[in-house]
Amino acid sequence: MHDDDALWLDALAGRATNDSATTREAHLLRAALSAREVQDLRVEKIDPAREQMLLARARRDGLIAAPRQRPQRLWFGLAAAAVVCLAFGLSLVQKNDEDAFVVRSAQGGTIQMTTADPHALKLRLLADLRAAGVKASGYQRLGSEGIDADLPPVLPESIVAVLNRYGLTRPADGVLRIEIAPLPDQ
Amino acid sequence: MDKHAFIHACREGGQAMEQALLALDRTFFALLYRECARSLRDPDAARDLVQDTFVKIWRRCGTFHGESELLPWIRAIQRHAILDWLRKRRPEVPMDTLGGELAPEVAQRIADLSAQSLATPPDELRRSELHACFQRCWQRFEGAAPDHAAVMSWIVEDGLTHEQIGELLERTPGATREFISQCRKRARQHFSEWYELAFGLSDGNTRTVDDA
Repeated sequence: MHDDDALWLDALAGRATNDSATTREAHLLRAALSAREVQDLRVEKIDPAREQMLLARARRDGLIAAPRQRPQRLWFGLAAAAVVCLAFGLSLVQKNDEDAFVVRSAQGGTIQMTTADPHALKLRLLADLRAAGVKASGYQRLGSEGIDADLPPVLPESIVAVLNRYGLTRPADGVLRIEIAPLPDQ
Repeated sequence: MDKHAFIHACREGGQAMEQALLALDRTFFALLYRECARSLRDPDAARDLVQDTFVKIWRRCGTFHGESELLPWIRAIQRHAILDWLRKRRPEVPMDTLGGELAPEVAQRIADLSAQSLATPPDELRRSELHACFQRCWQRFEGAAPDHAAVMSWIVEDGLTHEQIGELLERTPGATREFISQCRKRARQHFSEWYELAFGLSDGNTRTVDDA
């Protein structure tokens, strides 16, 4: 470096002492550079997303170990399972409350059922019987809901399953008659 | 975060290092990011590069023994990374192969102006005109010679010496002298319009050294 360039560097860095063409040139540049407008970029001091990226990068590069996930995952899993069970249990209880029914008797070959919502139970039972291949029809009479269905002579498992699910016995004549009344206090 | 906490975390590793990494981010990110974004002129690249810097810091933490404060050490690492980035984007072009090489008469003109004239104290209008002109010239300079522009900024900001510039560039003293010389030549090339204006020739306002 020429002495002149060294002088220029010193002046640009703010160290020059003498007054010369070189130092004037550098001083002018230094003053302008110092006064230069710089775009003020807004940066959050704490940025969780940025921190997570940094930690992920550090883990990827092997600088820090991956977090001990097992206990966390276990606890998380247990907690999640508990929540699911609780929700399921609640829904089951609720479902049972709403959908509960009682098979009271089979007077005159007609099965009597009571429930909080006879119409809903009728629709559900109709749907299940039909899904099992039974020709079933629903009706409404004198405030009660009813179902008539012809069962085949030999009951397939699917129909037996539906009958068992609802606590219904197989009619001797092969005709399923059901009346569904509201609960006495309704 | 101070240097003692940093050294401690470096020795401890594990969870201490993770916490220290977050502390580094909270303490220095904004400052490093602004400097980086100024040099790179690319906010997204600057964000990545600062995170690269933090990772490099931890890779080299064993070499930091607390002789200096933490920030200058971190800054040096980041400035290396900035120069690498700039060179990858725009490899350094030797002055003698530049199409727009500084004409000898322009260099002489600036030398003469500096020798014969003093910068005129600007009034409001001239200040604004000068400022706009400088911004234009600086943008051209940054575009054409980004690493020279970055180093010149750091010289002004931190008063870098010849030796410090050599360390930053990882060059021999001779190569560093050449780099500094090129900084001056390139600056003259790109700031000639501004020099003319600053020394007051455009409005006949020139003051000679003797007048002053």
